[in-house]
Amino acid sequence: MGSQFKFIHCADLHLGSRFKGVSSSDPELGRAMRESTWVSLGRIVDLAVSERVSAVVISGDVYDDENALPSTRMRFTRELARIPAPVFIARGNHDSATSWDSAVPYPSNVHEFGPEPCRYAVGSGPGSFDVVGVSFSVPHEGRNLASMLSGDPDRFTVACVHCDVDSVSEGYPYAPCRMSDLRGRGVDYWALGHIHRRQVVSESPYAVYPGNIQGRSVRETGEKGAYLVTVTDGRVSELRFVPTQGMVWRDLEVDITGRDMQSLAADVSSSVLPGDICRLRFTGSGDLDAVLRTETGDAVAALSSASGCTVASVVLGCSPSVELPPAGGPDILSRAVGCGEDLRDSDVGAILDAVCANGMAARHRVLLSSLGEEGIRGMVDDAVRLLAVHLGAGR
Amino acid sequence: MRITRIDVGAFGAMRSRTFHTDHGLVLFHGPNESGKTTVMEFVRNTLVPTSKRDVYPVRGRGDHGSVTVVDAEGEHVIVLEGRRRGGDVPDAVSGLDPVLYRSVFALNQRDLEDDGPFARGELRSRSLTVPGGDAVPGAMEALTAIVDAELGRTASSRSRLAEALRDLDSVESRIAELRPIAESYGEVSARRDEVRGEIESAESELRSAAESRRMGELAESNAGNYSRLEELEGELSSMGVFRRVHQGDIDLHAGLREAVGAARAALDAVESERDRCRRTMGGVDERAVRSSAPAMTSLLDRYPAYMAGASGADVRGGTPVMVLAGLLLAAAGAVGSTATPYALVASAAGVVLAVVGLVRRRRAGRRRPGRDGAYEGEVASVMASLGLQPTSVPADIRRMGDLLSAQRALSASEPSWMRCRSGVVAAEEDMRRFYQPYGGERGYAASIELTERAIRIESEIGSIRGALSRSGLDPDADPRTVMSGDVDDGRLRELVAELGRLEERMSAMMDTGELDSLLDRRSALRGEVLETVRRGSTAVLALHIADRACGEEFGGTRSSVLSAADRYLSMMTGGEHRIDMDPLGEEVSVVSGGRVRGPREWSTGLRAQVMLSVKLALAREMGGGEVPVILDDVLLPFDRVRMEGACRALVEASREMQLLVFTCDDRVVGMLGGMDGVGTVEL
Repeated sequence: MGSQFKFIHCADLHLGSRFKGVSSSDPELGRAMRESTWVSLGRIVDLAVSERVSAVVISGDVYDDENALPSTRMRFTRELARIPAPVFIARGNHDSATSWDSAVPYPSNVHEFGPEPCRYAVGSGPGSFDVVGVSFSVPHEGRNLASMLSGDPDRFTVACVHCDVDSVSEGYPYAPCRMSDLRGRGVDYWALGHIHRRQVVSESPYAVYPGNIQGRSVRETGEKGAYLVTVTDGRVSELRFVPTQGMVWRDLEVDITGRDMQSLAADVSSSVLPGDICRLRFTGSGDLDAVLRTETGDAVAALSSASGCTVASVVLGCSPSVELPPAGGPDILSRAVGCGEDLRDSDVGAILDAVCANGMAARHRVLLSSLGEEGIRGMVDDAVRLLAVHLGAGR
Repeated sequence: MRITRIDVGAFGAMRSRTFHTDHGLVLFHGPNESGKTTVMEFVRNTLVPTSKRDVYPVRGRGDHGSVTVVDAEGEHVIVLEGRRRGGDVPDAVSGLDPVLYRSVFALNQRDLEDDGPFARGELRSRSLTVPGGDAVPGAMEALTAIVDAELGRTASSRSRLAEALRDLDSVESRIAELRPIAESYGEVSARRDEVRGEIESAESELRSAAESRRMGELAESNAGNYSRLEELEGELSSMGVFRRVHQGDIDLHAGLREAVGAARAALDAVESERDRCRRTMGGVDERAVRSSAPAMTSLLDRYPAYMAGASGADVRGGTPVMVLAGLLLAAAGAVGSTATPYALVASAAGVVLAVVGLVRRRRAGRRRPGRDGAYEGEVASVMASLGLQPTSVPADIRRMGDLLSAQRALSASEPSWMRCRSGVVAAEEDMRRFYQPYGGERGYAASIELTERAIRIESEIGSIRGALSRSGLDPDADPRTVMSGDVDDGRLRELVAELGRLEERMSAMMDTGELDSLLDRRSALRGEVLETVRRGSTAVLALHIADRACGEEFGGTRSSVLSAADRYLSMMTGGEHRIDMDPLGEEVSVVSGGRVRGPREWSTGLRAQVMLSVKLALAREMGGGEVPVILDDVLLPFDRVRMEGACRALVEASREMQLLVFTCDDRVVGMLGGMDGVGTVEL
């Protein structure tokens, strides 16, 4: 070692995936959202070209298995062909094998790891390094893939793997491993994938989740992109995040209490940048509730125009002017507020049980669960407010 | 609160009527069309105005009047002007919901038939007495409407959720139709590769077929050549097997012939010389000469002596013989030199001998011969042995010398002759051996001829074959097989067409615009479903919270409502039927003869009794005894016994709240009219 080279680390491309939780039926908006992942990928490829990187490492979930099509792979292949360097890909839980894989082969600069570890040498001379990696063999991979990889202590080694370190993800642990599994294996940089939130898990050795390249739901807000890693004299000298997202997804809560449209627009404008895409959750209570409910389209258009961002979805969690009394008061609303607080503080399962006492709602219990704890408890707050409105608390 | 006076200025058809009602129970009675309903509606609309328009009597702007009430705060006059209520409205009625008022405090026969509170468990929500409690039924109804609108009541109900799910199902179905098409790209691609391979094979076959056809045509045009070639090959074949004569053989043969010739020439030369020697011997048998050679040599040697004897010895020492022998030897050596170089040595020796002889002859001179009888006899004997007639000694001696020379020459030449003869034999043997493979000299000659003929044939064959090969034809092919049938490109056309269709399909598969739009739509619909479920679930939770709140609230009041209802029912039924006081019961039940009977087990009469009991109890609880209750012919469904009991219950209830009973039933008038605390108003 004794020279400098660069490589790009990205993961969770989810090409072809759709945004979750967006109910807009505007076809142009749908197309723009779908294209945003491709825009991000294109920028990553441009970065690889402009920075003259020695390699590009993609740590899994290139596709979105529910939305994968041959055209998706074809387009990805064309982008890969633009990269004037070797590309290393590890399959993740969303990269199921398809019947068209062999019909649309990757270009010769691409090396896709198989279900067993493999090592590639990149370059020659002082600036050379190794890339090791392994792919998922099945969608629900249970093996500790990280423990199968190791590096030569005398060579800078990048390990490319899609896995769950210390089960940081909320759901099923895919290819679980411990941080201790990543140490002492001769690997200098663990190029990880699976977690969509960008984070540097460790710096000794480096273990990095770059996050996905484009936010796709209300829980994936902010900038998304890839890491440009510079290695000097065999050590990581710079780890720079480069935002490449096609659109920044923002989830804005807008309180209408005591506000008018002008102040709302100013509020939204100050929270977004032109070109962003957002979901507006209107909360609070006030006279704007009626306007938002009866003239939703016009109100949203006005806010979009004022802020320059695209409003992809609106959640009307607001209500007419309602004054909620404290619990324990003599009136029925106070008792209802108390019941609401009790319900809100109870187990999420109990809340869902209350909802699913309704047979039609019970059919969608799983869907309701996807709202998450915060969303489910938020429903209780909205329910109290809704009851208050109908009990005439605003009169 | 108690209504003490009713002043109808103008309402419906009624004008300027005043009624005094300062009793716990006021009985308004009169025949049909006497104005009971008009008075009843006047009181209702004055106490709690309604916004309904389809009411009886028909409302007018000129409607006016007043209702005077007395409560703990004193007297209040509530005024009705047109549709508006004014005046001094007491708190008990000022915030009452018109719907609630009419369902709880203004009962008619139909209200007794409304078992909603029991059937739908709304007893709690309809019995709340806390502030805002009156809004609960309406709120729950509105929330239920939201739930129905968003989620629907059943899977077949119309609702936003059902519509969204229908749309989603439709989109999913279309995706399910299109997706396999796109996903079969791999299959189609594999088939395309197959077809490409088949096209390649078909093109190759076609090219081969075309080439065969071309070759066939070419072969046809070269039929003559093929025919001639066949002819020549047949001719060649008919020549059979023979030993070919190559140029080497010819050269060898020439060499051998030359060798034979030379050997023969050498032999001839030697034999010629030997023949000359034999001729010199004049027919004398060589063997005789050879056998007499010693004698002759002796005679010759003694001849000089004989001559000397005669005239002295004339020793010539055989000088003529020497010369002759030397000459013969030289000649033989010369001839034999062609066979062997050593003959030259003999030839040289012969020359030397001849020269010596000549020199000696010259030196000896000529001498006369002497007479020796023995000698002469020997001579004659020798001559006789030679088969010669003796002549003279000198002549005979000369003859003998010649014979000896000749014989010696013959002897000397014999090795050479032997060698030459051997050479000839060897040469001829070589020749014979040469001819042997050919079966002799004739065979050789025949072979030469055959060879030359074969060469001509082969040359022509080679020319024809070369011409055919240059044309691209196979000289060895049967020209009849070179010709092929028609070139059929039908299969190739089919494959090319299929390739085109496959590539179109693949291109179409890559054009996933519709599928992408459907996937977008699906994603949006899923979001819409989630939002709809969320909205509906929020309303469900609101209902749940309301129900919980009502339950908690009613838990405190339930017992008083049911206690009162129990008291009224007991009074109506003489204790036969009692309200079930189980606080855990979700619905009102009746205990009859120790057995608990739910609403579905009640008779029509009992149902009416229970309804009246509970509604009176609710009115008492909800109104706090302050709100007068209007009863419009509610006792009509009762038989006499039940009616009496109901009257007793009404009087009992009137002690806690004012009851205004409107009836046209004389039985009721007869029962109630005589009871304490009852005032009657005749219309």
